[in-house]
Amino acid sequence: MTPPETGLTAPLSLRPDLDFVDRLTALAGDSFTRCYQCGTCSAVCPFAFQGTSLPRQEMLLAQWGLKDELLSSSNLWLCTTCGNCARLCPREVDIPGTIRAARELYLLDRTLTPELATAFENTSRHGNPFGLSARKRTDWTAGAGVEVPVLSRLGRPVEVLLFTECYWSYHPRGQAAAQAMARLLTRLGVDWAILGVEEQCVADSQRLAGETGIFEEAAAANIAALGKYQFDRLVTPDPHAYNAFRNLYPALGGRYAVQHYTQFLAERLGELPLHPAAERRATFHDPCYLGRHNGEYEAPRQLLQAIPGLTLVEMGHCRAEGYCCGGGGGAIWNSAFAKDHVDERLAEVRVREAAGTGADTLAVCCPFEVSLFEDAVKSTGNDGKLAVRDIVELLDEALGSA
Amino acid sequence: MAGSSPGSSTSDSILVVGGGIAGITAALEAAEAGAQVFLVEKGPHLGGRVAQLARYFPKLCPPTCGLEINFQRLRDNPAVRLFTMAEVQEVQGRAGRYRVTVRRRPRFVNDRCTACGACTEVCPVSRPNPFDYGMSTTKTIFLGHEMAFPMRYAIDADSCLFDECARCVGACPYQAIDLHMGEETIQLEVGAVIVATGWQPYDAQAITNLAYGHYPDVVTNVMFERMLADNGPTQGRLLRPSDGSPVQSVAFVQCAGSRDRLHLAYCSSICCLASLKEASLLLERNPQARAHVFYIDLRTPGTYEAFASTVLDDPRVRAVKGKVADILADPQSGRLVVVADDMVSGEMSRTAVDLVVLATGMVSSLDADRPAGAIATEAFGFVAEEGGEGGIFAAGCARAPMDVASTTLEATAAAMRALAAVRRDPVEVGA
Repeated sequence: MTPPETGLTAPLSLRPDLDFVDRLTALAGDSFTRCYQCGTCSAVCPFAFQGTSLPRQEMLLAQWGLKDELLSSSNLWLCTTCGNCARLCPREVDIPGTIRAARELYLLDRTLTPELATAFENTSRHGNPFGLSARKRTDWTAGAGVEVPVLSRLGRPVEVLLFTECYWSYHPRGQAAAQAMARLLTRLGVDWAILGVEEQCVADSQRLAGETGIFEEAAAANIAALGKYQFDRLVTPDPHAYNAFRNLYPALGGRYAVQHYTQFLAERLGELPLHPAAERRATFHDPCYLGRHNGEYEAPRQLLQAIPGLTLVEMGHCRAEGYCCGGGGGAIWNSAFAKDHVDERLAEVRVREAAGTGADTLAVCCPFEVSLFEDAVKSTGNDGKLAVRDIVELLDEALGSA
Repeated sequence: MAGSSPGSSTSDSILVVGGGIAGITAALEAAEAGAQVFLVEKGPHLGGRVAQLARYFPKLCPPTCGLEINFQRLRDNPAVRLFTMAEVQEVQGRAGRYRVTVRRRPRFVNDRCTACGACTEVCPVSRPNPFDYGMSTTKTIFLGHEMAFPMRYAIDADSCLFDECARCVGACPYQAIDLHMGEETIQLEVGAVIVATGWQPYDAQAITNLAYGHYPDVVTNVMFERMLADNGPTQGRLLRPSDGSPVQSVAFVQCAGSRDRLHLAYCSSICCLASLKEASLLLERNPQARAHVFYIDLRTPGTYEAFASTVLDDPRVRAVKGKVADILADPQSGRLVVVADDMVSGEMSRTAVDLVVLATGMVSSLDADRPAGAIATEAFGFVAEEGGEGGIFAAGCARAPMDVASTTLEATAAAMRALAAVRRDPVEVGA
């Protein structure tokens, strides 16, 4: 075999920064030092179609202490921390954790894209990435058609605290889902309430984008607010918030019985009087942070299968092998950057797969996904052929109260 | 009790567990040096995994010739007492005096069988043939393969209809079939034990991203050996399992489960050379074919490097440094596309092939199924030998993954050490 062409015109000069390796290790553990460059990660990365060698290249740069090469790599900011690489890594490297740590070190002295900087700034200043007033967090309740109890006004313990998070609180398509959830909880006769304006962005995606400070401040505020009230369980529609409540809040002093909304509703399925609404052929997109990161694949499917008239068809990439929507790890606020570096958005790849199943509905249960996929439906020419619906909206439709 | 020497508290007999190439070699070496040997084999015939290979290292000859020489040595040597369809249940005791419990399942065919095959003519039941890893079928009364030893049929108790049918009983001209044979428990007393229980291929279905069981044209390396073998399911013609069309290109997927902390954390040591051998056999069968070998590192220890170079220098063989992480079907061509990140070019490699061969790793046969008592296993389920004055020895893949040449050397060494153990002077207690 002949040696490969390197394409180098000048002698290669590498300056390993071993102090950088130590700082990465302090943040992410040393699992990245085990990488043996097999390329499993990059071949199953949702960006594999682009041939980016993400994250294989980043693990090598981390191992070798090539700080400037790693921190200036565009791959570092493409990664959505979807975790498909870590699922199959034969060396059990915490790849998303290592990427996250490199981002944290990046933030120390480098400039973010304006989009991401704005999202961070907004979260820090207003408690939500949109930069909207904290007082507007409960505006969605006006259109729910049912009373939405707020803990501070209720003055008594409740069974369920619905932690709505930012997209259900502020985004128009999220608000529609929140309103559907309010109707469902009311119809079920659940004793429930929201935290209202005391609620702050959980900021788990900001953390995964390297902003540990914002996450910790938000956690302290949320834990303080939640500590004022009594509730049996905390239910949230956002898999990213669910991930933080389940895996990170306990170490920070916030211990709650936490459920994703699909888990809560799946338990109460027998009590929901569902009627045939529309004939739908639906496919389901597993959110990375509900499925792969937290192991819940069944609850959303149980809900969908219980809807009369709805036929569930699976995509090839489903459950543990689910394909990323492109929004995780802070990437939802970095879309212009992604557009500059890849030929196709992940949401577009996913929408094509969904349309390929012959489904007329793409069912989701992560608030990031509705808007990402609706944009992708338009840009891929599937407008009018594929509807994007949160599962809670489909349930609400089957209750006849939409 | 069989094997106990009168007037002595110790035994100079040796038990060999497993009738593959390691067990056969150890049994013969010990017997030819004068020991009484009990050779216990789980299956109905000897030869183990080696008998199922198309060709084997180092000389790349078919396994039948090497095995036949050994079978002749066994026929000539009354000091080896063979128990087939028998499993060691328990080993208790210490060097010089082990009490061994063996359970022998009924064969339903006695030693009057001449392997004439009249029984198979009338047997109405077919079953997947384990010798071909399910790629062919046999009748429920079967001979392992045409060179089987002992050359005697056996009945698969899981699929036989027994008295409901019993057509074979009437068809046999030698009264060799007895459907009422029972299970036996045999007690042995031996001075040393050689564990030669060998290996199993790793369950390829557990490696979900490699699509074994999902696409019929994804096979394992042990299946491909059968496809290459003259006595295999297609008599050595390389045909795609999906549609029977000729195989023009093969992707060899190295480390399918090996060196993987999610599957087998260790290197199975033989798979790189096995795939290079299979690539050369592919080209021998079909000179127009192409082989693509996807690897993390090609591990070809010692002088095998020369063999590796010869295969890799062939322009029809392409080696890609990158582990296959995904296998997709191309709906247009019906071919499989293997995806790997090519470390050398830095490009994502997508290669369309007719057949994918997974170089699945080796798992110790004792990992799941270990007899009670003195036989201990260590890391990954391979046999831990007793140290010091112990009388339990391991040979071949029971101890660690290895090739046939190393296995026979180990088996000879184990026989020598077992002989030393049974001939050691008894310790005088209280002297």
